[in-house]
Amino acid sequence: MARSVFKRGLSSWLAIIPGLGHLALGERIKGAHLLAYTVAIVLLVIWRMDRVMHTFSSRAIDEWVAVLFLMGSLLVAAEYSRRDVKRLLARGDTPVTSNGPWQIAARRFRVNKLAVGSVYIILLLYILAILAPLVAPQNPSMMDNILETRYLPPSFSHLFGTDEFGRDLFSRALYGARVSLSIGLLAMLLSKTIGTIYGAIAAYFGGIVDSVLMRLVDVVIAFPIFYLMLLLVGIFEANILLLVLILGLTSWPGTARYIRGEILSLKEQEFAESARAIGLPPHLIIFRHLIPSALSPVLVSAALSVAGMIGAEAGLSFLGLGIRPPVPSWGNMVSGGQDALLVAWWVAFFPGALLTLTLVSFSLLADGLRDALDPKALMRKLV
Amino acid sequence: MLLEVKNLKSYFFLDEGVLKAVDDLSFSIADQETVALVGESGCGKTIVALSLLNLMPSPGRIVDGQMFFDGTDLRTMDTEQIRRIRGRHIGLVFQEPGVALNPVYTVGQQIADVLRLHRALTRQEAKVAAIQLLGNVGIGNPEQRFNAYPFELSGGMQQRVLIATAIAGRPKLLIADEPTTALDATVQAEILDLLRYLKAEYRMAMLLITHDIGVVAEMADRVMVMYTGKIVEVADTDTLLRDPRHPYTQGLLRSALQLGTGKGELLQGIPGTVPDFMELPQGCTFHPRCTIAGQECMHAFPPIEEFASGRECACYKVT
Repeated sequence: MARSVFKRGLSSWLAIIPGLGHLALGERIKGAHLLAYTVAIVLLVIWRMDRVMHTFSSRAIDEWVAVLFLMGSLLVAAEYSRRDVKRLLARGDTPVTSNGPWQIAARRFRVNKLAVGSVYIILLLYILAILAPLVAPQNPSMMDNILETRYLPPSFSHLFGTDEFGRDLFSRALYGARVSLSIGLLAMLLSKTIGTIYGAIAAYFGGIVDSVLMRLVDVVIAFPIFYLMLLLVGIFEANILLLVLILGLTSWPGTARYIRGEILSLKEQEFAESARAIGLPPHLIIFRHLIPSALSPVLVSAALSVAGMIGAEAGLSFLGLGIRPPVPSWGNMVSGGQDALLVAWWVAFFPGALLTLTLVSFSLLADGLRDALDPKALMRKLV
Repeated sequence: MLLEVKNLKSYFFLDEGVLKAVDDLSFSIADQETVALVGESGCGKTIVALSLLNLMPSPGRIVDGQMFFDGTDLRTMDTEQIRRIRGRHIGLVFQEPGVALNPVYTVGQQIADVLRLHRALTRQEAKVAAIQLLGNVGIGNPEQRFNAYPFELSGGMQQRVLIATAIAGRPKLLIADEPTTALDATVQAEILDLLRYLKAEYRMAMLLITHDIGVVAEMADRVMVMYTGKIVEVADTDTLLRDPRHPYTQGLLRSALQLGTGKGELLQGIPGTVPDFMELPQGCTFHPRCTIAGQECMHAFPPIEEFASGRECACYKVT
């Protein structure tokens, strides 16, 4: 009892530093993650103090984003940690495991080590991409002393070597990650959001609404998307926003068709009928009762879709139709390195390897999600 | 009268023709009255309930009739107005609680949703009220059960939760569509007790749809007997059980197990089977199975007439 009181006081004090409170309460995994993240961020701030300070007098949006993300994530970690410790203390000694569908899926997901590993890799890549202005050793476009610095092989001062203009490839790869990863994520979100809502509305209202909406889908599917992309990036200067819009607005029909099929069957089920009998308005029935039940396969395809989008962007950029140098993207970096493949393999190798790593990670994530979300999958080694 | 239904016709328009699931039905329910709607499976009982809330599944729809609820005709309302009636003024309890609750939300959330919708409560207030309601429908440890998912509860508890969602809006009329059919006998009795208690507590009228004469005897003030989409007899529960007039009602009562049925004695069923709705017999639809049918029964369906105070019957042979 005395120990427990001591422990309570101690852990709420320790919770000021994210993770310590959890460690004191025996929540090792959560605590270690929170603590590791906090320490890493604090070390980064100390290491790059000059750049953080410089940001405050700068107008560059990306630097501000990086610094705000840094501080914001620390605040979130601290606040989450404080609340969670409070919750744990209030709960007492009896552990409560929830049997909600998402909690069950999370438990099943954790069994799959490959998928969990890919989540770490994806998160690390995204965090590095956001923090690129702070982490990158050099300005990605800086060229000085080209004659002395061009085509330097990988070394400690240039982790990924340098390219034909003597630019640091590690820095360029970090900045390139921002382009590739953000296009992948945003285009996927756009496409899945449109597809889900569109398909759900078509299926729920049915009849003439359904017919009209689905004929439109047929039109979009029948459209020669690739030429449309070529045309659009030919007319407009390709930038991130344009690529997100092109990729997102052309890839939603698959999701719409899938969701429509699911909801056509779900809406006839009795829980949907009882939601109507209770007097829920259509938008609540669609968003609260029908879409969540149809969503899990969409999550799986979302993970694959991010990989698809990143691949598509890299392909376009490789062909010179996507993001153009000097702005780095993984696609145009590979393209830039192909001429020098025999002289300086590293120029194309590293962005290519990062691209592969990302795509594989998303595929493994999708695999893990599929196993975790499929209620029919075998309950092997669980809980 | 709380509810007054006049000449309701709900038909299904199938490829093979028109299926008259509810054909020219009239009845009324007074404030705080419990009326039972009895009949065999597939005689159109559930369609009456769904018609009242305008929830007819496609390709079915209400063809004709008036349904006055609290003085206004439900059929003249647009979809938005009828939606506000559902759950708020007329609650509906389904037959299978296991599938009528959404499996991905906790039972508490589902009740709180109704409360927030119909009583404009905040999230916190709704949670408190939902826990109170869970206690009210006889669920122990309501604080903890609030966070339970439907599959973590037994069938009887699921039915209690479903009843809680149906009465959360404090409706004046509760329609219970075979509320105990999916449950075993002891749980049935508990649920019937609960319904009776809630009906008194919330001062509700109740339309009880069932095929179980025992349930009728225990619960209803008045009984309506339904056959092939039409009401064939209406009477007080006591009168009907003691003195059924329509040959179908008589057959129905004879086929139910009664106290005093001797060992080895056989229950008498009604000869024949319920006719196919697409090929209803000419005249009175019951005449091929009827023991007292005469010539007049072959030509037209007998009109339902009041032959004594509070007693109606649709049969040429009853006067």
